[in-house]
Order: sequence, then C-alpha cells, then structure tokens
Amino acid sequence: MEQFLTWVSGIFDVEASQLSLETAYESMPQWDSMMQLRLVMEMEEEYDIEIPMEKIPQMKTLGDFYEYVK
Amino acid sequence: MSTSNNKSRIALLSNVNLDMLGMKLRKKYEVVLPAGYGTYMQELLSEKSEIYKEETRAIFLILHGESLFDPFQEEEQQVAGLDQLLAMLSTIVRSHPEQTFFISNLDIPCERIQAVASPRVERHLEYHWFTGVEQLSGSYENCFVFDLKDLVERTGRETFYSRKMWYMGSMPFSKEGMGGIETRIHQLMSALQNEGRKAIAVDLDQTLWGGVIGEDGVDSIVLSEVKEGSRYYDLQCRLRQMKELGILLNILSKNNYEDVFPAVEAHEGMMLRENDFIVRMLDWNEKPDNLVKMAKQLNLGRDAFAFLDDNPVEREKMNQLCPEVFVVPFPTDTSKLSKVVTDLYWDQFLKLRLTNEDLKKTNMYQQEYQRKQEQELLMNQQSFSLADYLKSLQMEVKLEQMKEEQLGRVVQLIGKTNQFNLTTKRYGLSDVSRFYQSPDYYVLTCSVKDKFGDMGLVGVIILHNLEQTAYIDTFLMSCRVMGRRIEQQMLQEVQSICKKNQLHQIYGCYRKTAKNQPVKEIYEQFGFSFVEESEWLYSAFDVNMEEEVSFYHCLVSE
Repeated sequence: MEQFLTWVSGIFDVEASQLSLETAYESMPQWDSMMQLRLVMEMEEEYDIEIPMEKIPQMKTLGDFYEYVK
Repeated sequence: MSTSNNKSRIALLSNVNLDMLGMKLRKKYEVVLPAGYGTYMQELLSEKSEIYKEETRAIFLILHGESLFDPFQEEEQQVAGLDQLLAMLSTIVRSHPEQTFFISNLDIPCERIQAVASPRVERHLEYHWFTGVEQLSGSYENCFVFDLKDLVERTGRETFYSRKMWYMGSMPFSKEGMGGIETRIHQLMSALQNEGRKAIAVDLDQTLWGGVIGEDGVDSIVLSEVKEGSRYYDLQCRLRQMKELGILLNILSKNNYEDVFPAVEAHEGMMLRENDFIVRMLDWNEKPDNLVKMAKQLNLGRDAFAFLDDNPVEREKMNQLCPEVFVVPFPTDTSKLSKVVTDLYWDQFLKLRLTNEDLKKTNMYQQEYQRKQEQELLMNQQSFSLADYLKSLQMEVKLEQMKEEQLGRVVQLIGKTNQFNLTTKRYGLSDVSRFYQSPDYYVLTCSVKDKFGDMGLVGVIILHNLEQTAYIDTFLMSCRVMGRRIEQQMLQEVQSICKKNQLHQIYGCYRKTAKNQPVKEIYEQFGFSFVEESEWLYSAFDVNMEEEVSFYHCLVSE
C-alpha cells in the first residue's frame, strides 16, 4: 500500500505523506476529470491491469483504485 | 526569442483533446494549448491568437483522422472538405512567414463496414490530405509535414490508440501514442533550433562489415545484399543516406591502411567508398586521441560527433575521455543495426530541410583537406608566408545584402557557429525574416570561392541601425574560412554601408562563451577602441582600416 501511495504521489506531484486510501476526488484540487483518466492510464500500464470503463466514474477515493492493485 | 524561464514556446492545436500531451510537454516547453479542442481553425485564423506571439517557436497541428469526417458522407464531399481546409491552411502559412508550422498527415483506420470490392475511401482521403500538406511543405519554407502516420506504423495502431480514453475524454491516443508524439516533437524542435550534430566517426571491423579484415582477408568479411551480410549492407545504406544529407562520415579504426584499402573498395557489398569519408584514421593510436585530432582537422567541436563502434571497451573509453561525443548504443543483436542508425539520425542529426551547402558538404570538406595539405607543403618551404599561401588560393569573396533564398543557410549558420561568433545570439527563421524585412536592420552575407572549390555562404553580419549609429548585433563566420583575413573585408564593407547611410558610429560587441575565445580581440585588431565592459564593448569612430588587402579579388554588390 505504501508503495502504491508513493507511486500515486508522483503522478499528483505531492508528498506521499499527504495521501491515504481515504483521499478523495473532492479533497484534491489537482484531481480533476483529466487526472482521473490519467490515473487509469498510468495504472493500467504500471500494474498491467485493465480497469473496465463502466467502473471509472465510480472510483472516488484512492482506495477504490487500490482495489485493482492488491 | 527565449522566454523568461528559458523554455521555448510551442503551440499545440488539434481537433481532439491533447491536454494530457500538453501537460507532458510543459516539462520542456512553454505550451500554448487553446481551450476547447475543436477550435483549431478559429485560432489559426485569428491574428490576435496567443499562438502567434512573437516568441512562439513552432505551431503543431495534430489531426485525428477519424473524427474529421462524417462516416456517411459521400467521398466527393469529404474530399471537398479536405480541400477547403488545405486552402485555408495555405493562406495561413503564407501570411505568417515568421512562424514555423508542423501539420500532421492523417491516419484513418479502415473501420467502415463494406464489401471487399468497394473502394477503400479511408486510404484515398489519407493520401489526398498527405499530398496537399506535402505540397504546402514544398511551397513554403516555414511549413513541414508532421508524420503522424509514421508514428502509428512504428508503434502499431492497437498500441497507439486507446478507445477507452477516446470514449471517456475525447483523448484518442494511448500513453505509448502520446509518448511517440512527444518524442517526435522533441526531435523536430531540436532540429528547428539547430541542435543537431554534424559528424560520425565509425569503426570498420564488426561495425561496417562482419569479421576482421586484417586477419580474415577481404574475401571472408561478412557483407552482402542478402542474408547475414545484409545487416552491414543495410547499415552502410543508412550511413550513405546520412552522408547525402551533409552529415560528415569519418573512419576511426585500429587497422592498417594497406589491409583495408584498396581491397575493400572492390567488394561488391560496399555501399560506401573510401572517398565518402573525410578523415580516415587507420592506425593503432587510442580512439579518443584520434577523435580529438579528427575534430581539429575538421575544425569541429567534439560535441559535433557521434561514435559508432561494436567494441564496448572502446565505447567506454570514449565515454570517459570525450564525454561530449555521443556514443551510439551498439546493439547486442546486430539484426537491429540499421534501426539503431535510423534512430541515431532522428535523435541526433535530424534535418528539416536541405540547404545547397548540405548537398555539397562532403565535397567541401574534402577540398578543405586538400587545402590543408597544400598549406603544410608550402609552409615547409623556406620564406613562404601566410600571405603567400592565401594568394595561392586565388580567393573570390562576394559580399552582398542577404537575399531571400539565403535565409535558410543564414539561419543554419547562426544556429551552429560557435568559434568565430562574436555575440552567439541564436536567432531562428522568424527572427531573421524580421531583420530581412525591417529597414532598421541590414543583413550582410559573405560567400567565398577559391581554386579548390566553392565554399558557399560562410559569413554573416547583422547590423542594427539605431539613431544614426550602427550596432554589429551579430558577426560570425564558418570555421571553414577562419584565418583567411576575410573578417577584414567584411568589416570594411560594414564601414562603407555605414558611410552610404550616413551612420557615423559603429559599435561592436564581444560576448564571451566557452568557445569563442579565438575572436576575442578581433575588434581591437581592426582599430576599434575599447569602450566599457558592458553589453557593447567596442566602438569605432571612423574606423581606420586602410591597410591594403591584396590577396582577394573582392566583389561588392549594390
């Protein structure tokens, strides 16, 4: 989990300590709709996974993303 | 020219969402990315658009082929739509000569469900558009094709696009696709800003051919048009194509000359001949030492070189001792040799447009070699002076106001001249076009011929006239003609231009860089007096340059 948050912090360009699995879409100004897609795109490559399109709008916290990684 | 944070400014236009690409590019450039992605034509047509600001270095128009068309329209109408776009682009490119445009070709996947015998309209449209943009690039110096289709083909279409990103965010390209576009933009910008290298030093055994010629003999080397030998045949073809673009090929090999030439000349697999190379270093000295010598002989910096060698020990030595040289990552799998050299060209040598000088380059450098040899010969004779040598060259120096067709060469010289360059201001095409059109500037060019050949345009002075005073904004000369006292001829011409225009003062300036030490004292040598250590260092009031220069035949055009 630590590793995942560190990786995400690189994409958001913030300190890893500012992030947790509860960090939510509304709480971060840089997490806009484009960042949502970028997260999906980067995750699919980094972790070699596929996130179905239907699920993307429902993913509101980092925990929702982490579900696909663990 | 450069913006406050020293990043070059580029504009990115598209019919789809390129925000994410823009974000990546912002690490290296100041990116103008107009809001709303369907509005590229409005932006291009609006004179006040952000994209046309003076500092913009290049405008990239990246088009997503699929979404340009209504899938149920007749082909005729679709073609008419493209023609209309092309006509508008033509007007735009023509009316902004100060800007550089990169317009993409189209990649249109054959998604339409149809019978096998029905015409594949997608292909027709792709080709129609490509021909149109290529014509623009042929007609206007400031317009180039951005070969998006080539990127798609190299990456593979499935990998290049992401349907998911397209449906969710109108972003058609995948991460790999964007990465490909980003790299291509870097390569084009680097070429546009003349950051490319100039020469390659290549090893012979196991690099230009398989095997060791000194041990195996010429009949046993691996080099042929087919099968295993064609790895090297293909590599030689790529190198020869680079040579034809004016990139200088040189040999850097631990070998005996007699073991290699002329035997290999007759080999039918050789695509390169001895005289395709300029400097041929075949001895047993250390390669970094020889490369330094080679650079001196060609009057180039070490950073102008790339080094191709199969031997990792030699590559490492070069890396350690000449870190400015680009050491080509030689593939462990030699079936990739040709690709490695193609990539080398794109990354380190890419040329946007050929100048006449480029086409003649290998020839000119070979002539320079002959000159040096003659000079050495003459200098060894007693009582032979430099003046005698210069006289023996039978030089013709032509000084004239820059003509439009010289723009490309002038920009090239401004971009790459390091040693004889008093101010080292790197102006681009847009800047020099502006000087060309402005009454406040005078761009003087100098072309030189001698008995060995035509060296073409080799010197530039940009004069800026301000309140009855002339400032020598730029004064540079190709290293090919350094030491021939042509600078004196050029400064005298400046003086006579100033007289004609009733300018009574001339200011010159020397701005120190890591490389322009050789011309540090040039103004003092020609009678300029030192003013102050600020931007403008030297001034001259009625410069005294009466000394007779007898060894030129000088043409001064009006």
